Amino acid sequence: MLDSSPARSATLWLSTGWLMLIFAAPLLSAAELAASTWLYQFFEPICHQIVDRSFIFMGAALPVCARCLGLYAGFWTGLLVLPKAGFLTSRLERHPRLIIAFSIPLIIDLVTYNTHWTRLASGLLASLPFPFFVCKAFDPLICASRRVRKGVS
Amino acid sequence: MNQGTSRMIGPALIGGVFLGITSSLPIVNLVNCACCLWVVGGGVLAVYLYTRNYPSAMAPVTYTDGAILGLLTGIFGGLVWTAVDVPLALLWLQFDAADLAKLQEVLQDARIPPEVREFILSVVQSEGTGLGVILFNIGIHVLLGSIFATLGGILGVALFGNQARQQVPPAGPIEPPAVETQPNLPPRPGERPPEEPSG
Repeated sequence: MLDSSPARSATLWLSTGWLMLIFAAPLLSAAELAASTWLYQFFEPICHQIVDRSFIFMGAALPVCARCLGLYAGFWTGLLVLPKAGFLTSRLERHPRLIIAFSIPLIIDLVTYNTHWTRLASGLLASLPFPFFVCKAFDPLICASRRVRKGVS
Repeated sequence: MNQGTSRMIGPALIGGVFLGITSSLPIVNLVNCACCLWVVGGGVLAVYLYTRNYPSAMAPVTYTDGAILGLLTGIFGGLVWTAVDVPLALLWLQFDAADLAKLQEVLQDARIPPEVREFILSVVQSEGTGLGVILFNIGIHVLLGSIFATLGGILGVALFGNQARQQVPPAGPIEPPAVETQPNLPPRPGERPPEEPSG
């Protein structure tokens, strides 16, 4: 079903752009451009930005921690993987609360010993099924807007 | 605005106020560092309130409803978030050059370690130094609130919208569905013919 989802490609572009913003901040910082400060400030309300808990890229910490990076990367990966995982999407269709099960490793990781990589992996898994619901939410809106545009032209 | 959308305003306002206040209160707002929990939670709360008194006669709550509800929550919440944040930023704006000179004088005390002195000065000189920063913060709060509360709204439908089994329209054909019309067949034996409207 996600193969033909009109929302998927739009969300994939936005998600890719979001990840590029994350990696652009240290790049701009290395180039000593002021835009880097704005990017760090942009992500500040949604992440603690503790350097010890963030991956270092090009000599500077990413503007989000390893767990947040995992969540965003997981969403992006879900957009790529879910169309090929029919068994998973059909289960999510029937049991939407299954999404909680994907967050269990993240919760365990929060309360136990963790590293950059466990934070990244648990975050990645937690947001993996999310694109399925996002596409279901936005497909009708995109189809409706296309109908309107077609009706106008 | 249809009936469903107008019913969303109340829950969206409550969710938005929850989002805005929790995200701007010092210490409490640190929870946002855990996956933007207050912002996503605002969207989930709005959907929970929306579905709690949802009339069964209406069409089931869809993920699209959740997204719209979350978006409204995020916009309201972003504004509340900024409304609480701006007074704090304005306090920083009051910190003029004379105050800064006084502070620097106090910081000259030899007992204050140089790194602490540098840190205090960097904080004072970087925070809220202009209207641009406030406007930037408004934009960020509304944008981030909208994005993450929309995701929260969708999550809320997955958690609370048991009847949310929306039919996603096929991506290919976008024409409106053809209306099937029944031909006027003669009544079967023993079947009463349809009554003609009188008058």
